[in-house]
Amino acid sequence: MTRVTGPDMPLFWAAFLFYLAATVGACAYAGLRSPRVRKAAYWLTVAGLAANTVALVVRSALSGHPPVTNLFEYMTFFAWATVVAFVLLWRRRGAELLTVFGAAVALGLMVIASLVPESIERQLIPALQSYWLWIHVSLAVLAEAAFAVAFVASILYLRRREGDPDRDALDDVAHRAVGIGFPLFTIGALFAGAIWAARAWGTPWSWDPKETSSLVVWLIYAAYLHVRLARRNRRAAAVISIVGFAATIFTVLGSKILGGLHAYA
Amino acid sequence: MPLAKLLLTVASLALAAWVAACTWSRIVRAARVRGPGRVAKIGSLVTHVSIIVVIAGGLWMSVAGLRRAAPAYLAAGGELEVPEGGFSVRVDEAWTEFADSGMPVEYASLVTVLEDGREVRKHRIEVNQPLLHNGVGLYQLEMLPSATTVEDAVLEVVPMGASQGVRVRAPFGQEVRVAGTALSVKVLAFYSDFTYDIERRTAALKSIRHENPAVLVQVGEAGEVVGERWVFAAFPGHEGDTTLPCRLFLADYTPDYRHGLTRFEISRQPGAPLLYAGFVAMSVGLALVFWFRVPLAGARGRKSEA
Repeated sequence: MTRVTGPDMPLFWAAFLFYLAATVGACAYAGLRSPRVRKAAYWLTVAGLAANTVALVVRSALSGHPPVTNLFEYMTFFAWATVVAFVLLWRRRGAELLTVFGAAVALGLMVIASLVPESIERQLIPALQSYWLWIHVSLAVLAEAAFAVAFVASILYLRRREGDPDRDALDDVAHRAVGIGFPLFTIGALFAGAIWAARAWGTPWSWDPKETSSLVVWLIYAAYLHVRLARRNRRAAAVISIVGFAATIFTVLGSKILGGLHAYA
Repeated sequence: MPLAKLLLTVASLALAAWVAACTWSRIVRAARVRGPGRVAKIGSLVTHVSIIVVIAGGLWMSVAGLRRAAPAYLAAGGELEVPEGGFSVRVDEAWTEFADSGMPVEYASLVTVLEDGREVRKHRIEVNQPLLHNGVGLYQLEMLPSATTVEDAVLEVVPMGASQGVRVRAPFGQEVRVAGTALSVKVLAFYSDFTYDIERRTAALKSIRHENPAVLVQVGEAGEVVGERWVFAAFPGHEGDTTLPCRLFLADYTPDYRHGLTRFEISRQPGAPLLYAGFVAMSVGLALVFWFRVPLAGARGRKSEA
């Protein structure tokens, strides 16, 4: 049998519970502003990240390929990359609240993962048997994790009053996150995808729902950069960043609803 | 139409060339300027002009390119003319492989490229492995099981006078004895969509879809062939006009994916090099923009941090 139920699932659920506890801790920190609560939430997030990492490694070892071949694996990997990005921001001044809320985003992604089939396929369908899969999907996930950071930073930025010392830091984090995510998304999601599509389907672009919504995401973040860099309108940029992440999530999940050439993803 | 396509292609290329020339002059001017953000500005210009290049490549591809499905499914021995590339292909084999779970893991067509009837090369077309020849690509589009053979058929044989039948799995073309009787059965032919040609007074294949599957079964008794009959999956009560020593029912059959029917997509992408040049240019441009960022007021740019 090539289909097996993964022994990675207990680790998945451990990560899920750690992220849930960290999210509760983040909410408590938002009210209490106690450094001890923040630290507790941080370490719960790190514990979740450790479980998430091992779950992905176990799954890759079992399936014989990186965990990017179905929606469950994609969302679990997405959650992992998002938490890594938030944990890296831990020591950044002004990003305290941002770091603790990283677990909340990861929890949301894990909830989606928990709702879709988690079976492991050792053999891939013919369309996915290409090295472009790893390049295309891995870069897209990393880009989307950066967009998740920008999303949370933008929400917190909009909630801060003018003159708050953390406000500039949050805006800077959002801008830098988009600065990382946008090139990765352009190269990974769009270019690598187009090159792979040209090889597999005979055309680089088919106006498939996922392709079209990816282009919309790209245009939204291009607008963000223009508003942020050229017009220097930070408030509008923050709003665009939030809209961009909503479009990103739609892009990830949209093919399940709209079908198309990416219906297996 | 070809003239309109040509004009649009020339216009898009001219536009790309014009923007590229303008941008180049701006890049040269930006390079002469000293101070922070110089490289990022060049990167920004490269990024913007690359968008034009990508669009021009895409336009060229949509106007002068080609993408069409082959008109028919081909079995082994079938040939497909590709006039756009000045060649044809002959299918030598076409098959689907499955994992134990039943999931297809490979669609493959072994083809021979022919030019003026001469064999030029062989190629195995798979989903991510098209045949590229004379600027034209052949892509694996679809694969169906054979319309005229099966792996095996599960027949229910009810001897005359018996109340219960015996199930036998008969591989295609092999004689199988029916347990507990003197009977034997052999599947001689299969039609995935059976029809009767009234003019020729013979059975015929209506389509390659499995709409009305039927097997021609030869029945033997005590080592002697006693007759044959078409047996239909959709019409179990059909007896025909033969006088065989048993009644036959087609309970199930395993489609033959080892001798499949393959269908290709024919594609030509003349703008692809321009498109990929745009991709490379934009990747370089974005790297320059975000690696050598322009420090903003209030933001902690790389230089201000240093």
